[in-house]
Amino acid sequence: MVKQKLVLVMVVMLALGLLAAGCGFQSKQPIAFRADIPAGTLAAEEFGKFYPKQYDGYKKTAEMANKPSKYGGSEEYDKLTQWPFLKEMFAGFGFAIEYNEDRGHIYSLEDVKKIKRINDNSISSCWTCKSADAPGLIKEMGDAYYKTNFHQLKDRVNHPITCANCHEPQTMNLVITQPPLRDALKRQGKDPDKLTRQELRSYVCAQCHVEYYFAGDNKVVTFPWDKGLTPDDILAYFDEKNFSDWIHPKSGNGQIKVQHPEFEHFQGSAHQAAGLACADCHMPYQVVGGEKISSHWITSPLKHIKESCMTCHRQDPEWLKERVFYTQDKTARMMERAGEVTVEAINAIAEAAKAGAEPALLEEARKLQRHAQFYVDWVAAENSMGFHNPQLSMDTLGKSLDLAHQAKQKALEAGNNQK
Amino acid sequence: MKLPSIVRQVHLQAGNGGGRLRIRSPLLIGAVIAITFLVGGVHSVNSATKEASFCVSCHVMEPAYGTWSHSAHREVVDCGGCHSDQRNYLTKTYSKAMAGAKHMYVYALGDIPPRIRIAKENTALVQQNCLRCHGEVARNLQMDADRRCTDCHRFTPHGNIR
Repeated sequence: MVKQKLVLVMVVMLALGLLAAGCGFQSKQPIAFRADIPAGTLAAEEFGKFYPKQYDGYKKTAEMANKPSKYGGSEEYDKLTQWPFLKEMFAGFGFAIEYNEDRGHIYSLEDVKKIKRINDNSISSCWTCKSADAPGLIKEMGDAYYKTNFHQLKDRVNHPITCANCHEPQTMNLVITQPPLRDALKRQGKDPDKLTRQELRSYVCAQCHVEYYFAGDNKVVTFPWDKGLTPDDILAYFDEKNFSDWIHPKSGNGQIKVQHPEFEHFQGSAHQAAGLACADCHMPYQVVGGEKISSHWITSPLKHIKESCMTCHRQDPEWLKERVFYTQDKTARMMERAGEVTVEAINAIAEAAKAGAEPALLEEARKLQRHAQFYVDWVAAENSMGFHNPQLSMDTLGKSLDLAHQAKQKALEAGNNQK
Repeated sequence: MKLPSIVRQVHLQAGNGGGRLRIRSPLLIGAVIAITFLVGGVHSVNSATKEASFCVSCHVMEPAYGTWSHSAHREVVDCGGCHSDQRNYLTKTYSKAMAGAKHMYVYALGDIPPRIRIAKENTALVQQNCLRCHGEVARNLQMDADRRCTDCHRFTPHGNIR
């Protein structure tokens, strides 16, 4: 009897010991809230009253400097001068009129108002990614917002990209405010309100830093993600919809203008596969006044290599920068070549058409050229000169170059088979 | 077989005195002594194994020891400060016993991996210990529960040696 009790006591003690060891594991981290900012607050200054350190970083997006970046930067210089093949490729479209390197978030409203691509007939779709006011306007007006004349809403759009684009003001939790991304995620079967923190640290950027087009008569900003996120998937999507942004006057070819597919391009890269989000490099943790915060100076990580790269990569910052340039130099050289041959294909098609080429062959050449142009523009429009995903960049440029040569060949063949 | 004298004495006294405390079983008395020795033993084993020098008494731990002993962490924590559950005495003892048993088993079988990496299930423990000291400075960082400080700070404190 005593023996049984003793065994029982020891079993209970062991059980309690195990319980104490296994239970109450605290993996949640403490979070310091300072404010209960009213819902619907859009102005960065209002958030800045309670989060001054983050606001200081945000204001630094006003700083303009290209260096130490080699190909991008945040000064407003002319990309058509930098890459002459772009002007030929975009002939007959707004991007051949004015196409500049983009500046920081704080300038988004100012820059969209002055760019020459906006004309009297421009639509409000163009406000969507330039202002914190857009999600509210879309909620109020529905899909009618998008095709409303751009100038008609000028007085309703008062904020650039602000804290409110990514943060829920009461909790400061990350939130997806842009309807186009919410819709794209829902079509993928994902709930935009049930993403993990680490997913959101990329998806808040994917609200704008993505490929999109104006779908249907309402010109609704739409992400072409239904077949997948690779350049091949997105081109297949546009081909299936038979979508073109404009007809190139020289080649008579329906073309797609790629926007800025940073998010899509990053997928599958070494850094993405290792679990990193956009914010891990572009908003690195920094110690300010005795506590760590995410940097809100969203810019090239080359401007803060120590925080962005060196936490993981313990090499010399100069060496790290040279590694980035190694990728970018090769991408730039390949991109320029692919772009030039794509333009040569445009000219070959134009000449063949003028000479009265065989129409079926000419159409084949046009299709090849459309694809070559899409692929080279993908890399040209993506803001990292290849670094976000070096292998995908070279893969995409390789396809472009191959298709551009095929298009030239086919145009010559068409010219030789005149009706 | 004769009982040890102290046990016999207690036994006899309890039996003869007829007081309220009646301890008759030599087994129970033996158990009390065993537990006393066990608690004392656990404490002395805990003491004997708390220094990093104990961990490096197995040669395979030399890279881990060497990198730590050249790091800033050397001044503030031993191996156990990060790699055992520091919440209380019981959890610490339990986590040390489990890790020790596992290490002994692997060591005895000679199946030591060429690159020693932390077991995935132990990363939560290390994370908890990062925040034990650095929780204050990181209080404004919102991180998913499965994210670790060491996802980025991957050379802290063990350098580039794996």
